[in-house]
Amino acid sequence: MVGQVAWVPSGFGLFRLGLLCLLTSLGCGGVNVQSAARLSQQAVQATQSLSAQLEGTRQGLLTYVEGQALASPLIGTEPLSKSALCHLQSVQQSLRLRLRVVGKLSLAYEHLQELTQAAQQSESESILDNLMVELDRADYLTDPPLVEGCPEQPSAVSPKPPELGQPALVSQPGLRVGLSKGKTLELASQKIRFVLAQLVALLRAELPLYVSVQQQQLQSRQVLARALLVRGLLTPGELLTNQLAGLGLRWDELAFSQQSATFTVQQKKDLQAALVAALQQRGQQLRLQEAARLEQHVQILEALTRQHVSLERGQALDFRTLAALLVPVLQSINLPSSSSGGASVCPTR
Amino acid sequence: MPTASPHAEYLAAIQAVYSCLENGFDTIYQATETVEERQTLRNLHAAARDAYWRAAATQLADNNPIVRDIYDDLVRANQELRDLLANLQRAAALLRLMTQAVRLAGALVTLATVA
Repeated sequence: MVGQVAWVPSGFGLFRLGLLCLLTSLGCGGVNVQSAARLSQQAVQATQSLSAQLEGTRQGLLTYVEGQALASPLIGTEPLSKSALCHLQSVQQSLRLRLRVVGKLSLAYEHLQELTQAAQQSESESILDNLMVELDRADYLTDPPLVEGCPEQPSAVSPKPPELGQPALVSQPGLRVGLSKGKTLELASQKIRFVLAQLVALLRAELPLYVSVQQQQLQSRQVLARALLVRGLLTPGELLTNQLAGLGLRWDELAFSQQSATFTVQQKKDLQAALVAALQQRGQQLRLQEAARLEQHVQILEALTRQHVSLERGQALDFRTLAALLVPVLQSINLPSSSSGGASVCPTR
Repeated sequence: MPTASPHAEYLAAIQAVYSCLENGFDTIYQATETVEERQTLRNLHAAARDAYWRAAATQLADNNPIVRDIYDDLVRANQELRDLLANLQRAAALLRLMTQAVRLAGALVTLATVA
């Protein structure tokens, strides 16, 4: 009788049964090809997103230099000195090098993705052959000099391309030499994980610099915008877009210019103070968002490292993985994760 | 004796001086009374900017007690600057404090830089 009760196909029981079938069909041992495909897809997105942010910071340096040139006659600051420009150039170069590394990692994940596709389709040609015709744009990133005569940076030299006609020195493990698909993916994952861990450590150490440079760029842009705004050279239409969105109202430039001509001195001062306050708030928000995005990128790469380990151990979807996904959701919606009769964790009044 | 690299905190302290001058430049400029004060302000802004980019381009890793003292003094000066800027009365007093902060920032970059 007890045994019969245990076999009643409750919702939870069916779920467990489904999972068991899933695990059996995917094979519990070795690298799960589907998981490898998913990991590489997520990793490509993560690395490309990080590249885009670093590239934004690199481009932002040029905007900063331009902004300082604008601010000099407008606000009265001194133009950027040659020494400052040389240091800026050095920061720019560091960013270029990081972009190159992240770009390489992104390419590695693209190849891992191809490897998983080949494993799924039982193709036998070597994916690594693609590496021989790979052109990495990040290898050829250049920036025009901000100023002439800065000390030469030895690491600024781009890598020499391989000579034509040279036989490929890359050993081609994996599908071609007869390793199993699972083993090929496992080896690829291990190699990428090793590089990823080093990159994460480097990014973790350099994160304060990226955040600082990004924040300084944003602050300088904000200072310039404020200077232009208080001099009556900007209109606040865009600044108010979010406030007016969905309310059936829109900024009317013509009406503003006609109305502002009739404003009293005090009204003009009040309006200016309000706009400057909104600008400060927007700038502060933007700086915090950018810093949080950078931190998020590094955290995602750290999570990827853990996913690699999981993949290499052949850990398929199990209850622990599910719990790891579900617990934060449960916590965020403030529900008890155990079946404690649905008692609320909120304090009662 | 702290063992971790102090680069992040040193950079933040140096950036605070530059940010203070960059953000408050227009306001302080209006508060200055003489041509000399304005020129001092310009020079301080340029020096703080130079110090910041020098710090960003190098590795501030030296953590010996003298460097640490300079860092502590700079953190204190930054706090005083913020207090003084919040209630801007006399530009001359502010410029004196800013001069001290910029000198400390410059000294910190020079002494903490590891070749």
